[in-house]
Amino acid sequence: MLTLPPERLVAPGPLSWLDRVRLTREIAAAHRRVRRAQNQTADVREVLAVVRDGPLKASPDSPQPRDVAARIGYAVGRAMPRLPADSRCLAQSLVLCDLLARRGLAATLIIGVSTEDSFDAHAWVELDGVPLLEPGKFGRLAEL
Amino acid sequence: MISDSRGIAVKVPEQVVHRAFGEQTVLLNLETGQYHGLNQTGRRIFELLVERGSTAGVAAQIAAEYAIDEGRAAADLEELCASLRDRGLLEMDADASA
Repeated sequence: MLTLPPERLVAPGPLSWLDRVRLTREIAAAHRRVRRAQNQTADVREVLAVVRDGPLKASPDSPQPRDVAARIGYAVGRAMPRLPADSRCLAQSLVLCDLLARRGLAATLIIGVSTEDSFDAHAWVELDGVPLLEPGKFGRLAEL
Repeated sequence: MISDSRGIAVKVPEQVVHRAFGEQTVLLNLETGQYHGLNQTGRRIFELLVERGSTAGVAAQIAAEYAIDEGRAAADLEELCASLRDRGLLEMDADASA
């Protein structure tokens, strides 16, 4: 039976222009880290281990983790197609995992597949079981 | 050649994830990022291999379930095992018969 993920977490209100610029630069830097790791190995688990290495601890005064995660997930989904970067689902997911890890948030990368009509694969990120990137209608194959 | 009576020990490597979706089973080698889909018959063969950890008796079981000649079932089994092994989705140890 195909188990579909819950609805995606919605980001809170808009960022300031300056915050958007900072976050976009951070996304670009995360993408470079991900690409370097992917150039070393095709194993997505190893790439994840690299991007999750050495996370910062979340401050007790930080906004609620879900708000932070939702905002960053939204930003990654919007920014990456506009950057000279691989904007496919797996790249977005790895970049998001990197950014969340640096904020002390342990997210899960989900690999899903669809076998209806034709075969297709997809990746997205969840925090506490809630999607931060668009999950689409894919069944869960692996949770990393 | 896979001998149904003697059997060959098989194992799904730890870097491989698999799950049934509808009538298919999808396997993913996390090391390489390669996917492999099994149709209904392939899925059943794979299920039996995973359950038994061996090829022993699988051809006979498939022949009985699908009402086909056991020789044909053995050929299908051998072809599937070779295909999965070549994609890094199945490990076979001919020295460790089961």
